[in-house]
Amino acid sequence: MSWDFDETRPIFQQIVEMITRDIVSGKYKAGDKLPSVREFAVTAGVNPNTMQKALSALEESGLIVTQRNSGRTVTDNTKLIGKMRKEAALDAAKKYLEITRAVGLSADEAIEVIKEADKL
Amino acid sequence: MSYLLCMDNVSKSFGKKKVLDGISLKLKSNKIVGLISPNGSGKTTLIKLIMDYLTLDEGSITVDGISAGPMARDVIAYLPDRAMFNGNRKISYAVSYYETAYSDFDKAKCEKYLKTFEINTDETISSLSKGTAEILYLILTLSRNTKLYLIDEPLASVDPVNREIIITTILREFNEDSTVMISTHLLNEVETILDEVVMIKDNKLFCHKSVEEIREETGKSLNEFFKDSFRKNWFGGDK
Repeated sequence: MSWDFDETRPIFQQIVEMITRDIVSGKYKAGDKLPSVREFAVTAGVNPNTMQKALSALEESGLIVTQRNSGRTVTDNTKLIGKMRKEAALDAAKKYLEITRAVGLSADEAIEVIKEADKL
Repeated sequence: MSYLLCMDNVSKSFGKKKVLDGISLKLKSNKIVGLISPNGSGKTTLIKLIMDYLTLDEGSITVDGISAGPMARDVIAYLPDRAMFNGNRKISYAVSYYETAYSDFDKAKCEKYLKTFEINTDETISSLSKGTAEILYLILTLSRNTKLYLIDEPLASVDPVNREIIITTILREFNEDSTVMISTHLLNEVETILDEVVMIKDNKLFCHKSVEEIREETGKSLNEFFKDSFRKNWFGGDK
């Protein structure tokens, strides 16, 4: 089964986002070995060059490292993963605030709503 | 940078009807390229010219530096848009034909894929459904290890499940020393696997572009970009 893409946006960007999400959520753990470009491309149902570009971008951000002999792994730098997790959460929070502001809630009220929703 | 496929100012007419007009196109290795255009716009003609099954009126074509012709065919695996063998032949005949005809044919790979798709080689080709016959021909084509793959309408009669398997098979077998050109109008299916797209419009090369660039520059999917480029304005005006 291939991954679900929004075909109006560059695919490589979406792959970067998806793999980043899988790393910060712990689906891929620090130090985990990752599939080869080919395997990744086949699973995602995307062009191998696009996958290569996405993995290179992830390497640049430091989330993925290439080991000389054992291929690509998730970084064992848990601080970096934590930082990325924070960034992802901040992005989500900003989007949430945009919506709650649009319906007339203050930030404090929006936080109360989150606490309430968490109990449901 | 040398190119795998070079078409220079290629034109072709059938009688008075011009089908291709001054097409210049260069493809590098390591690409999956979509050849997309509405029906009857010369996709199959273009592919047949590369194969030298049709003769050029003007221009030149080289594949891996070899002029289009019998020598160049050695480095091309071609999947025609219609049946390649007499239906009374057994599937095993088609396989041994490929084995004899092409030194780059990987029989083990072929047998592996025939098994995957549960195609029994003792049966005749005409016993296969239209979709399964297409899969057979695709397997034969992809079992060659060559430079240029020309795949004309590989998905037309195949059901959605097998379409996905075919796409996966193309991805799995794709190697970086080769280029695959797929002619199709089923854009949703191939959208995410293409590097580049070649479109022919009004007999001319309309665009040759990276698909990711199209998404980035226009914010459109390939499918939308294609439709917007070819949509006719039925209520007057030109386009």
